[in-house]
Amino acid sequence: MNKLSKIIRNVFGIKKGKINLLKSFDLGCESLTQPICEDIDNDSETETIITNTKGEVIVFSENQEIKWKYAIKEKVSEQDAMFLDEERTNSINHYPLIADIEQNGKKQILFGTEFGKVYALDHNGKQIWAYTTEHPIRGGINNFKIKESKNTGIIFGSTDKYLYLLSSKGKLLRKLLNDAQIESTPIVINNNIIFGDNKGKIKSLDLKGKINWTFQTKDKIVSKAIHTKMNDGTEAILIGGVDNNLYCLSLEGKLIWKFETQGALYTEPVVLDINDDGLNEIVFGSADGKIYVITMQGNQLWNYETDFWIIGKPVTKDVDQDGAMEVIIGSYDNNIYVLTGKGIYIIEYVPGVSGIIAQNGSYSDIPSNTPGELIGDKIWEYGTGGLVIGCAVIKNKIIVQTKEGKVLWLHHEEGK
Amino acid sequence: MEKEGREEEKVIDKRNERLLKKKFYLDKIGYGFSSTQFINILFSFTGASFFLIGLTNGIKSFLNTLISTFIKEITEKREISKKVISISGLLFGFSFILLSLAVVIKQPYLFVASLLLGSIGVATYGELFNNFLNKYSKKGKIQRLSSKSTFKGLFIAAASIILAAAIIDLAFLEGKIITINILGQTLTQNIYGYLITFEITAFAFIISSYLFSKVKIKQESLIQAIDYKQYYLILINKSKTFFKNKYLLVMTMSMILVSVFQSLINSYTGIYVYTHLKNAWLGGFMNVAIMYSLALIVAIIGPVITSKINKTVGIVPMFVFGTLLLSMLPLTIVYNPMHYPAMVVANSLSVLGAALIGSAQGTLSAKVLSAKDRQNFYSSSGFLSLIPFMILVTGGAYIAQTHGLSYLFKILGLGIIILVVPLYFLIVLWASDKGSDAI
Repeated sequence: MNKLSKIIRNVFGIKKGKINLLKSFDLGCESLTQPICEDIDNDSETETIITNTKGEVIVFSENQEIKWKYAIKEKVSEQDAMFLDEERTNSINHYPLIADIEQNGKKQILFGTEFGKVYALDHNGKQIWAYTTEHPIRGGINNFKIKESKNTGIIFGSTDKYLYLLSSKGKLLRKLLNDAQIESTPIVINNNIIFGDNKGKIKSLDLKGKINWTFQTKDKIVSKAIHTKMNDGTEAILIGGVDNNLYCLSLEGKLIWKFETQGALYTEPVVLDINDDGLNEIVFGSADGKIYVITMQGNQLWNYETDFWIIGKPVTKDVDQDGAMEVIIGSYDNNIYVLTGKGIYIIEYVPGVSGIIAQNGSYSDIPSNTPGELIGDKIWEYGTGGLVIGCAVIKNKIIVQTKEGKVLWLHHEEGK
Repeated sequence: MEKEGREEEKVIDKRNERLLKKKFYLDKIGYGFSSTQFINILFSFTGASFFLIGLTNGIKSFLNTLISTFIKEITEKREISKKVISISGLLFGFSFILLSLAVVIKQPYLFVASLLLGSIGVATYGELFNNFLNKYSKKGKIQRLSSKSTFKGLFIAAASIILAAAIIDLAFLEGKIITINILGQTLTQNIYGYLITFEITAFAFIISSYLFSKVKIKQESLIQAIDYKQYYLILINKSKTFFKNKYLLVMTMSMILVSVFQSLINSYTGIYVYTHLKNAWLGGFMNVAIMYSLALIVAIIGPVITSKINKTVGIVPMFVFGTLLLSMLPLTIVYNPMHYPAMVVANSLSVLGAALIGSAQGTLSAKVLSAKDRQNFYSSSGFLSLIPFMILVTGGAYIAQTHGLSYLFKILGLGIIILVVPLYFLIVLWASDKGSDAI
């Protein structure tokens, strides 16, 4: 009987169960970053890394217990204190990079702060090194392979207009001056750095700082670029702009297409085959309150509208473990949404019956409207009580971070 | 404060949803009681010739398409008040009162005028209402509601068609004299069945328009200059871009042909069935009602089949399959004219075929075009179809007048197989190429 009901559910795409709150944790201050889930210590369990505006990094085990906590103890001079918001001095503004930059089989945690410092922690929360810059670091840290060497380098941008390239030990390799502040996360592709700046330029530089190309957008760029492959195998870059557009550029900086939304794009898109059609799709949220799923050619497949801004990066996972991918997104409307990857085809009128009755959208034998549209298909919604910054998924658990500092563990439960 | 505001918004949303739900269903009752087939039969009772009936149906489609594209442009540039939607609904409702009058006094040209007025009303009403839904409602929520009511609505419309047939058959063309005793006063009135059904339609749309006027929304103010000449030039230019895609080009060509064949089949089938089987089976209008209400229910599975089969066999076989099904009705009428059950089955399969073609067109355009281009494609291909459509429909109506309906149905059935099926086969061949870039 169970098998039969599973078959019926699969055929008709009926989802079962509900989302329940498993646990919540109060950080005691605001948080600006989405949770990151990674196995940082090779113990086959996925940890959740949370940061906050006090400059704390808290790592939770899979069973929601605190594994360790690191707090920045930055002394601020009296002079600096006059200009800084004490509460925000050590604020971590972007989610940390989790990578094995030391190449020792364990992962390290790297992040920048409002005070302008970059920290590297080991998997137990012990500080390995810190690097100081002069201005706030608002973007993320990235790693790259140093040319003709086995070593990994670290790259980040700062509001002091510099791009910093550090060794894995935290030593400055090079700093490259840009003509505008940098709040985006730079990436390195084939020894070329790609990043966006606050003057709205997307730039490609070689590692010595020589400009390969520049692409001008209409507003600043704060999101990270994504290096991806189009369906025909050509390489491309996807990057969102505060000018409401998602840009797809060739590695030579030529515009392939742009997709316009009605709100700013603050985080990077996710590229994955979410509807099981054998082709990758692009999933991203916008401050127009919508989550978009578009093809690699920039055509919209579906969107889903929430009641307020979407700031965080979407998560694409099979949260109910039924073999089909779901899209999980948090919104400033205080809710977390779980949507099917495939969307749902909504019929606006049944074609072919105009000879019997008229319908809104179809009044004659000549079709002048599309019969339907693919739209976002919400399965579950959960009210978190706060502005949702971002979320992550471990197996059937959704970890939600609210701006007010609440971390929630939601759990998908098979219903009867 | 913000929380209170949101709560209030939610209450308004729920109220609007309830009003819209009622409106959706009232519209379906209205559409059901004014089935195209009944209108055509009653049109023939005014003494209209086959040529006039076919031509009027063609002009009706022409006007609907023209108005639909025209309104899309207006709503892009101007904010249309909710009142205009309500008023166009009211006008559409009242046009049925004029239609009834035309039948009573047997005035075919008044019937033509009322029908065309009604078609302007329905396209304006439907198009403006759809635009309103897209602009002002949380799309996902209302679209789901609209989609659910589309399916449920077809059942309501099917029931309305049967009920309308029962009413018309009960008190037919000559009317039925009814004596009512009110407070000792005896009133004798000749009641016409079609008068009752058309009045039900009129009231359904009048109430529906009233309910819509109660929907609470904050409309934006938007006034931009409209250059219609420029707009239609853009549509023509856009179509040049679309037609560079061979799939869209062939799809438009076949769409024109299918529209012509469907328009002619729909103009005359109801009349043919009514005339030939008037005294057989369920009799009069009920034969037509059962035949078409069943087809409505069968048509519902068209989009479902397309979406399910699309994943395994692709979209293109749907075109060929749908077209072959479409030819079933005219050929059955020609080769088995007095067999009602065969006609019922053939009609259901034909309507299913048309539903499959329409759904496949929607899915194909969704695959190769962005959402905005998709709407432009439908507008521009619909607009460009108008001239060839009118020429071919006029030709078909002329054949009906000069050679009779059986001859026309033979041409239509064979025309679908000879002209449309090969076009879709062409798409199948392209799609089966490994280098296919569209499907």
